[in-house]
Amino acid sequence: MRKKRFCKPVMVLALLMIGQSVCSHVSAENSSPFQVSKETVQISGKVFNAKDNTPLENVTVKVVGTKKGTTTKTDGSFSITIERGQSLEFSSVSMISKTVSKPEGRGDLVVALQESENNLSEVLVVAYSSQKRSSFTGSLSTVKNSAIESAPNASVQESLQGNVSGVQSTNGSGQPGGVPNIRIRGIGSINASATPLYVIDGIPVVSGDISGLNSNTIAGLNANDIQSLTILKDASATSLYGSRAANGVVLITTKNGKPGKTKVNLTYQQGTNDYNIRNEQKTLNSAEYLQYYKEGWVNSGKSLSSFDSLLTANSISKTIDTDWFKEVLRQGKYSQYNMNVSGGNDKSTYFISGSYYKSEAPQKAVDYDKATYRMNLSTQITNRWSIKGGFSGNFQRSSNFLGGSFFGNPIRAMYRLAPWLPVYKSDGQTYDLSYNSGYNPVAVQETTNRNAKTYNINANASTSYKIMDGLTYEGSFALDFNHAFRSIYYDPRVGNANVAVGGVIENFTQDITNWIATNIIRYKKEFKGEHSVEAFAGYEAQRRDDVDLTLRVNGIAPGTTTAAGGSSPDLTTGTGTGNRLLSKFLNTNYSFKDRYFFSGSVREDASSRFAKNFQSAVFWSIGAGWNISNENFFNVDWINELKLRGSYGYTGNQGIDNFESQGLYSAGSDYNFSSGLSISQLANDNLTWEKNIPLDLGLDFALIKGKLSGSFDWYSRTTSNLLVSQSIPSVNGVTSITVNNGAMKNSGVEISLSSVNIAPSNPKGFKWVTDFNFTKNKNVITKIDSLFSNNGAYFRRVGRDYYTHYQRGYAGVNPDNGEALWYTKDAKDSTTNVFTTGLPRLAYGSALPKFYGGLTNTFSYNNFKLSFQVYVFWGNTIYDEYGYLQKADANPGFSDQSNGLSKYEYGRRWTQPGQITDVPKPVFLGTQSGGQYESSRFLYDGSYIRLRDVTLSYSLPKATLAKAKINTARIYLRGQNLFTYVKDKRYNTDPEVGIDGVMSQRPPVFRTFLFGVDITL
Amino acid sequence: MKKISSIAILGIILLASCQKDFLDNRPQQSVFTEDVFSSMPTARAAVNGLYSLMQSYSYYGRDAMVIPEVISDNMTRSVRTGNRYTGMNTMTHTATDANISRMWNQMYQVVTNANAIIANEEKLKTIITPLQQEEFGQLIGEAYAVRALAYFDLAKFFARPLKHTADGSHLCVPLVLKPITKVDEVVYPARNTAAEVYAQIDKDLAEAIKRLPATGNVYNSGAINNSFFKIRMNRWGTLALRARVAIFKEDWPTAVAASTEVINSGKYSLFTYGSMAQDFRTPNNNESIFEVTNNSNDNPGTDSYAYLSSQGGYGELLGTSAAMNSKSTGTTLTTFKGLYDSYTPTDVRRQFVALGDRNSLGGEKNVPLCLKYTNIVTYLENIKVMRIAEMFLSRGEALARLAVLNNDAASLTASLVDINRIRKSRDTASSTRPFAASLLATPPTGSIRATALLDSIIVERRKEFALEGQRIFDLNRTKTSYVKINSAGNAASRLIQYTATTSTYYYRTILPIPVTQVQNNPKMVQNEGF
Repeated sequence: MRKKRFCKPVMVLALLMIGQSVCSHVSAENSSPFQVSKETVQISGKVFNAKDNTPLENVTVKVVGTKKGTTTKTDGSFSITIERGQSLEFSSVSMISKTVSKPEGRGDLVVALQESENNLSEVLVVAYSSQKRSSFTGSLSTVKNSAIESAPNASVQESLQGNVSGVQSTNGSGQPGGVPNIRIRGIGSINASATPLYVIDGIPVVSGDISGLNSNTIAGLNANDIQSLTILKDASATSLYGSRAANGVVLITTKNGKPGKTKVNLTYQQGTNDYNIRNEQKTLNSAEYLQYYKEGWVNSGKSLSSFDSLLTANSISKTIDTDWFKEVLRQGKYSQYNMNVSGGNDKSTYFISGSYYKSEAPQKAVDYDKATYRMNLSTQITNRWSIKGGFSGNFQRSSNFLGGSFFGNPIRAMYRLAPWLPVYKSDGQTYDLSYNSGYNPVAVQETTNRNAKTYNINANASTSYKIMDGLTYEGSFALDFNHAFRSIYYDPRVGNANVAVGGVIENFTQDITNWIATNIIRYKKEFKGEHSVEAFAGYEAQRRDDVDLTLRVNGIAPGTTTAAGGSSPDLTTGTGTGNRLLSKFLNTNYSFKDRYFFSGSVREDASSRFAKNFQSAVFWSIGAGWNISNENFFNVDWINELKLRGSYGYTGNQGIDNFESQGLYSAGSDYNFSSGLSISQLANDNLTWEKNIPLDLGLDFALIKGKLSGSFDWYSRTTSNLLVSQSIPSVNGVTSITVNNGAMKNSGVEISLSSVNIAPSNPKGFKWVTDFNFTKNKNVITKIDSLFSNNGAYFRRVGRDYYTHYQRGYAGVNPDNGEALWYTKDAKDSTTNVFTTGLPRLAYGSALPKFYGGLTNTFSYNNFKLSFQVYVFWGNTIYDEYGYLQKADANPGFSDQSNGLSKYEYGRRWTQPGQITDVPKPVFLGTQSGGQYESSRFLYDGSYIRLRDVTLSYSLPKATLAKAKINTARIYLRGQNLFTYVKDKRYNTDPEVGIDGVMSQRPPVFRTFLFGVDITL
Repeated sequence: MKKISSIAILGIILLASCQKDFLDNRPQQSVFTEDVFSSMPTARAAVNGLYSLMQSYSYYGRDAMVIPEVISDNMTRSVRTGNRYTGMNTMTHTATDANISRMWNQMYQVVTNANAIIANEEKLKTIITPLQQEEFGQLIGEAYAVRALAYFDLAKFFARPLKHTADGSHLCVPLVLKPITKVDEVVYPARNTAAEVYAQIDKDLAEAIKRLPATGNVYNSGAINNSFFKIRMNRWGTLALRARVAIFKEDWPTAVAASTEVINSGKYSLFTYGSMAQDFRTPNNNESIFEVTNNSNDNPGTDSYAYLSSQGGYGELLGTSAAMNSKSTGTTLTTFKGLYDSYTPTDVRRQFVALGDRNSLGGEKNVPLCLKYTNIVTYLENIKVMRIAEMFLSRGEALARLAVLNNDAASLTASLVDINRIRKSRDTASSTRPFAASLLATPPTGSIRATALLDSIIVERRKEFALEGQRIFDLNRTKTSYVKINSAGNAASRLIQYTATTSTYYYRTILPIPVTQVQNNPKMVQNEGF
C-alpha cells in the first residue's frame, strides 16, 4: 500500500507543463519588433555537413560581437539581418565552428561545416546539457564514432579499450556479450560499486549482469545507433550526477534523423573468431605426460622398472592421446547486420534502426546473439514547443558453461584433464564418464544448456518549451525496463551431481523496472556581448524495483526441457528489492569575453539506501577555464588554441545494497517447510555516502593550424568515508558490518593527442593521421582504521595499492637438486626448501597496470583507407587462481585433473644438477615443491602489447555507385586482437583478464577477423 | 507566464510533499530487526531460524558430523578426493582452514540468534494471548536449549575437555549472551574458562527445562504439531543434552538422572536388529530424540554429508580398516583397530561401513565406505543429533563409573543391563555373550574387570555412533591415544598420544581458533600449538 504508492506528482507536473505550454505559446510569439538602425543586409543561405552534403539543422548562426542570432531549419536554411560589415559564426554540436566574415547579401550563402575532432569549437554532450569545449571547465573524453561503429564487439564498452584515456576497460573473459570491467580514473571504492554510471539519452540505465550468466545489459545497445559517447571524469563534468558520480559517467546519445532526403544505411559483416593460443601454451600430450610422471616416479625414489606396473595399477592407458584443446575449442563464426533509416522535414525528424549480431566464441557451444530496434522521433510543434520521443528494444541471448573450479567448466577440463583419458568408451560413441566426477567435457558441451535471455525496453519522451527568450522548460519521463530469463539444463546422465539427482532444470526470471522523471528550467543570457550566463535547475525522481523468481527441479523426464519435466522440486525462491532517489540540482556557467570561464553546480540527492539521518547529501563542483589563445596579448603563430582549466568538487557513491544501513532478519531460514528468520545484518545508523573529492587540472591545445591537437590532464581523486565491509568477530552473529571507513587516493596523468602527420593537398591524396592516448594512474590506500578481511590473493594495507598481490614467496629452483625454494622473510633474501602452509605471504606486484594506452594510425589514399590500433597494457601482475592445482608437480600422484603444465614449462623442468630453471622437478606423491598450494609461482607479469584493431577499407567510386542509385559503399577487412605480445613467456593464455588480475579458468579473449560492407542509399 | 510560474511552484510543493513517502522503502525478503519480536508469526520464524542455521553444511549438515570422525581413527580420505579436510585428515590443520572458520561462524550465529530471542522474552510476553502461554514457554525454552547445544559444541571443538584442568580454568570460548543488533553494540570478547562455559550451559539447560512444556509437546505455527516433535528441542531433547553434557563433565549422577528421565518418557525405542540399517536413515525414526531436518527446500546438494560419503557423489570419505594400517611404515602402530574391524560380522552396524570400491578411476578397492547418510537424490535423511541408544550407553557408562568410584556393585549391575541392551539389539551373535563384569581385582571366569568394562563401553560407543560426529570427543574426554590413518591409499599413519603433549599431533585433536577471529579481536588467544 504505502510502499507501492507511485510518486505521481512528478509526472503530473511534467504533463501540466506540457499542457500549459500549448496554451501560452501563442501570445509569446513574435514579441520582439523589428528594428532598423544602420545599413542592414538580409543574409540567407544553407548550412551543410561537409562530409556528406546533408543539410544541418539547429546550427547556431550568430552575429559576431552581438547577442543576435538564429538557428537553421531542418533543411539547413537560415535567414538573418545583419549590419553591413558584421560577420557570422556558424556552430553546432560536434561540428567545427566556422566564421564567415562580412558576408554580402548577394545570393544564397552556402556554408559547409566540418565534423570536429577534439577541438575547442566542438560541442560536447555533458550532464543534462551540451556545451562547447572551449567553455567547458571539466575533463571528459569523447570517443569517435569510427571507433564504435561497425566494431565487432558485442558491447560498446569493449570499444573503449585503447580509444580513450582515463578509462581502463578489460574483459574478464572471452564470452561474447559478457560484462567488461570499466574503471574511470582508477579504483575508487572497496566494497561499494566501482563501476561508472551509464546514461543513455539522459536516462541512468540499469547496467551489469541481470541474468546471472554473465550477460551485459549495456551490450544490448546497438553501437551503430550511437551519435556520441562521452566519458565524464572530473568534478565539473560529473557532479551533476551527485551520489552516483564518484566513479565517472558514461554518457551516450543516440542518433536522430536530419532533415532532407531519406537516408538508408546498411552494414553487413561476416567473419570468424579464433583463440590466440600458441602450441607451447598448451598442456602436455600423453607421451610428454608419461615422461613427466616417469621422472616424478624416479624422483620419488622408486625404480624405473616399476613404472609400468604403476600405470597398470592406476588404469592408465599409454595409447590414448586426447587433445582436450581440440575437443573444447572450435572456430567460431561472427556476423552482424545493421540497417537504419533516417530523415525528416523542417518540422520533424526520424531515425529508425534495426540490427542483428551473432558471435560464436571459439569455445564449443558458447554463443551469443542479439537483435536491436530503435526509433527516435522529434517534432517541432510551434516555434517554442518541441517534443521528442524515443523507443528502443533489444533482445540478447547467450549460452555458456559453469566457470571457475566447477567440474562442468570445459575450459577447466581443457587445461587440467590428463591426455590419457578417453572421450568415448571403447565403442567409440558412448561418453566415458569415469573421470572428472563424471563431467566429460565433450558430454557437457553436447548436453548442457545454460541460456540467458535478456530483454530491454527503453521508452522516453521529453518536451521543451521556450517560455521566453533565454528561458526554457524541459520535462522528460523515461522508462527502462529489463527482463532476464535464465534457463539451465543439466543432463541426468552427465556429471555425478546431476546423475545423483536425475538431472537439473533451473529457471530464473528477473524484472527490473527503472523509471526517471526530470523537470528542468534553463536560462541563457548574454550581456553586452561580453558576459554570458547559462544556468539550469532541475528536479528529478528515480525509482528502481527488482523482482526475481528461481525455480529448480530434479529428476528430469527424458526429452523434457522445462520445469514440468522435473519429478521433484528442489528450490523455489524469489526476491524483491528496490531503491529511490530524489534530487534537486542547479548548474551555472559564466563566461567573460570567451576568455574566462567559471562554472559551478550543486545537487542534492536523497537516497532510500542510507540511514534516516543521512538520507540527503549535497554535492557540488566548481570549475574555471582560461582560454589563453583568445587573449589579445597572445600572439603565437603556431599555437592556435590554448586553454587552461581546473575543477574541484565533491561527489558521492551510494553503490551498496538497497538496505545496507538497516538491521535485518532475512527470510530463507525456513525449517521443515515452516518459515524462518535469522539475523543477516546489523544496523548502522550512521551509514552514509562515500565521499569522493576530485581535482583536475587540464590543458587543451591545437597547434600548427590544428594539425596537432590534444589535451593533458593531471588529476587526483580522494575517496574517503569508504563504504567497506569490515570484518568483525563472528561471535557477534555476523562476520562483517558495513561502515564508512578508510580512504583511498587515485592520481594520474592522461594524455590524448591527435595529429595529422601528412595532409593531402587534394581530398584523394595521401593522408596520415595518428591518434594517441596514454593513461597513468596510481592507486594507494591512504587510511584504514581497522582490519579488512584479507581477500584471497590480496591483502589491503595502507600505502599499498588496492590490488596488491600477497603470496607465499616462490624463490625458484635449487639448481643442485631441482627442489623448490621459498622465501622466509619480507626482504626476500633468505630461502628454505621446506614448504609449509605457514610460510609468510609477501607483497608482490599489483593487478593494476603502471600505464596503458592506445595508438591508432590511419592512412588513406584515394579510395583506400588503412587503420591500425596498438594497445599497450603494462606493468601489472596476473595471478592464476587455479595454477596450484593444475601445476602440481605430480604431487597428487596420478590424477585425472592435474595436467596443467604447459609445453613451455615442460621444456624447462629441472632434469639435471646444475640446471638453472624455475620449474621444479616432479616428485610422485611428493610435498616439497608445494605443488598443491598457492604461491607466487603462479603470479605472472601481465604486461602485453596488442595489435587490437586493423581495418583496411575501400570506398567504391561514386560514379560507379550512382548508376546503382547508391550514395556510398565501402568494403573492408577488419581484424581484432590479431597479434599479442605477452612479456611473460610462462603465461599460457590470453593476458586480458578482469580488473582484479585473476586468471580463473575462464574462456580467453579471442581474435576476430571479418569482412564487411557499408552501404548508404 | 504567471500561470506557468504558479504551476511550477505548485509542482515543487507537490514534489516536496511526496518526498517522505517516496523514500520510504521497505525490504521484501527481510524484516527490520526492531519488528521481529513485535508479533508472534515473526517471533516463531526467528525460532525456526535457529534450526535452519543448524542445517548448514558448516554445522550439523556436514562439518560437525564429519570433522570429529575424520580427525579420529574412524575415518580417512580417499586418494581420489577434493580438498576438503586435507589438514584434519593428516592432523596438520591450521587456523586458516575455511571449514573450521565457517563452523565457528555458524555456531556463533546460532548463539546470537538465540540470544536475541532470549532477550526479547519480556517484550514478547506483552503481545501473547493467554492461550499462547505454553507455546511462548516453548519458544523461549528452545532458545535456551539451542544456545546450550551450540555452546557445548563450541566447547568440544575449540577447547580441551572440561576435565583437562582440575578446576576447568583453561580457556574455552567467549561467552556472548546479549543480543547485538547495531554496529555500535559489536563486542570483542576474551575467551571464558571452560568452567564458566560449562556453568553457562548448565544454567541454560535449567532455564530451558523450566519453560519447555512438561509434556514434551512441540508447537509450530501456534498449534501442537507432532511432525516437529523430534526436529525441535523439546523437554526430552533438552534432557538428553543434559545427559550428554554431564558425561563430558564427569557428573555421573546427573548423567544417570537425565538419561533415565528420557528413557522413562516412553517416547523412544531402540531399532530392531533387522531394520536398523534402513530405519536409521528414516526421518523421525523411533530412536531419534533430536534430529535436524532436511527437505527439498534445504537441499544441500554437493555440499551435503551424504554427497561426500556416497560413491554416487564425491564419495571421498572412507571408514578405516586394519588393512589400511598394515600398509603403514611405522612400528608403534600395531595397536590400531580399524573401525570396520571393531565390528563382528554379525553386527548390524557393520552395514554402515560395508566394504566396497571407490567409484573413481584409480580409487581404492574393497575399503569401508561411509554409508550412514547416502541419499543424494532427495537428501531426506534428517541428520541425527541425539538418539535413545546414547541415553542407554551414557547411563550405562555413568553407572559403571559410579560403580568403580564407589565400589558399588548395584550400579555395575544396572550398567550392564543398559550396555547389554544395546549389544543384544545390534548383534545377534553377541546376544549369546553379553558383557559380564566384576568389581573384583580378579574377576570370575566369563567376566571382565569393571575398569575394562569402561574401555569396552567407549568401544561400544564407537561402534554405535560411528560417523555421527562423536568419536574424537570420546577420545579426548577419556584422554585416549589413537592411531590416525592419513590416507587410505598412501599408507601413512601416525600415533596420536593424548599424553604426549609435546607432539604437534596432540594439539590437533581439537581445532584452532579461526585465524580471522584472532586477527580481528585483540583479546582472542589462540589455542596452544597453532
